[in-house]
Amino acid sequence: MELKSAKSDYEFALWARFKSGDKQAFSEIYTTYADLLYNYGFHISSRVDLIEDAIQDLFIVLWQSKENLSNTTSIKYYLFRSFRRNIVKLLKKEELLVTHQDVSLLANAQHTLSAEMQIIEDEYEETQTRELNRALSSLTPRQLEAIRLHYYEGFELDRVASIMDMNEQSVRNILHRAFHKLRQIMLFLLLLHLFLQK
Amino acid sequence: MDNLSIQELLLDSEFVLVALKEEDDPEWINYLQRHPANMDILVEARFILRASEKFPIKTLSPDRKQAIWEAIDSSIENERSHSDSFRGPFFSRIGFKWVAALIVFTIGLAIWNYQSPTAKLESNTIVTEVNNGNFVYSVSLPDGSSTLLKPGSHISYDSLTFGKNGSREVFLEGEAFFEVVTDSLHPFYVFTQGLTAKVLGTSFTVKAYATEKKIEVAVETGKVAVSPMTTAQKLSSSDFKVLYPHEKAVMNLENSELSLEKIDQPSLNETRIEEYIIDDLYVTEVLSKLEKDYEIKISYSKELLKDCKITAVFTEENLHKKLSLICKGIGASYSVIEGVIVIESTGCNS
Repeated sequence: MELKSAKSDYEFALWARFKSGDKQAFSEIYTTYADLLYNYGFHISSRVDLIEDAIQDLFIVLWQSKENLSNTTSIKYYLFRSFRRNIVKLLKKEELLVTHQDVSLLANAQHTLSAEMQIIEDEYEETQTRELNRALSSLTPRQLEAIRLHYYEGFELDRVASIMDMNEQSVRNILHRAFHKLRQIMLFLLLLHLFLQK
Repeated sequence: MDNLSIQELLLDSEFVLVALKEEDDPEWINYLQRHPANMDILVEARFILRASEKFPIKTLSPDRKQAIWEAIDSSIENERSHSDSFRGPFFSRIGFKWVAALIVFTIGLAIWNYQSPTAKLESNTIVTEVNNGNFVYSVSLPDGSSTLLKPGSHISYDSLTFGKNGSREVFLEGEAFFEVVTDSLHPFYVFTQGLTAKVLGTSFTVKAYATEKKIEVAVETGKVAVSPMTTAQKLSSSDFKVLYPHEKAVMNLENSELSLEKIDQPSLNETRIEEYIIDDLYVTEVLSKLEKDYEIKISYSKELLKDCKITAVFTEENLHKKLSLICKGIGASYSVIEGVIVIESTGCNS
């Protein structure tokens, strides 16, 4: 708890300094978040140029409107939300946005198994890893994005919803669907294994 | 409640280690058996963990990162000209316009420094000193205090408000040795990412590297108060813990714990700077001692200075004061060029 508040105190001060026109603080915000945003962008689109433009536009507008921004302790949330909107805007402009199934790098997600997985001993193992991999590969870009935002970036569900521009219940549904099927498979396989072990 | 547990699991290194193993790996099975009540959460967490293997693996190269920043910066510098040409897609701007952006950037910097009275209130009088070299870099502050920046460190302060608004404030990332001029009306604050040090007038070292998990403040002379607060807001005196000479505070960033330790024996490479009583010694010896004590490099002609002798007593003078007194004593002068101290003299042949 304390660590979080120390960090958010720092962020609060950083944001305040930036808002008052401190270019150094602004530069620090960029340095801290640019890599993260860049990588996150590929959950939305695979177009490197659009992602770079979206980052650029984000920071330019951020600077230009700094006086109108509220005080915030979550720069990260603000940046993620605005950044995603920028990408969507750019995609729409180029008519690349397909609403039900966004084109993204993840559509071509790698199916290569890790080195250990490639050592296949018997059919039972083969079945397991195939099932796991199949379940993982069947994850849609939206599901992966929701998993990333909630479990890895640590955003609460309401904020995930706000970033992804949908309501909270939709986000819950996405996450449930994501591991519903696999849960069944994995539990089944686990029980089967335990049963066979005896 | 499910989700919270999964997040905790993802941060648990023991879990992550076993969860990445195969389904029939004994360690994984064993782990599951040890936590039978939470089995489905474990399975879900494992799935989330494996899902991250499907995350994009694109990273932003330092060159592209810098390039994007330069485009942002040049656009900002240009904002008064209401030019639309910089708002279009970035990729279409490369080529000759890339050169234009660079030129505008440099010009923009020059204009920035003019501070015209009718300019928009963008107070950018922040001075930042960065040490990217291999030696300790000397920085003087407007009040006469000095800092020795270690390599890979940087320090920032607002030249306009430093010492004027009732306090002297600097932001530090990395490591620096401070010699602060006594001024009880203007407390000296060193802000780092996890901790603030407040001094009245003293010498001390702050270690606050971005990549490390702890921050240290070690006091040489005088006293320093440290606090885990990091804001530039008003800090009340109750937030601080006081450190005395040969004491060290260590702030653990992972659990936000602040502990005080005594420094019993100064380690060999952290020579403490005691009172200097110099009784008719060769200047070259004194300079050597300064180099050793402050871990700095002083450049001078051994040939010219070999006959110079000096008598002096230094108690509270900081490095720069010491140097100027020495130079006065031998009719020499010194300057700091890129962090290295250079002494110019015509010798001491009387």
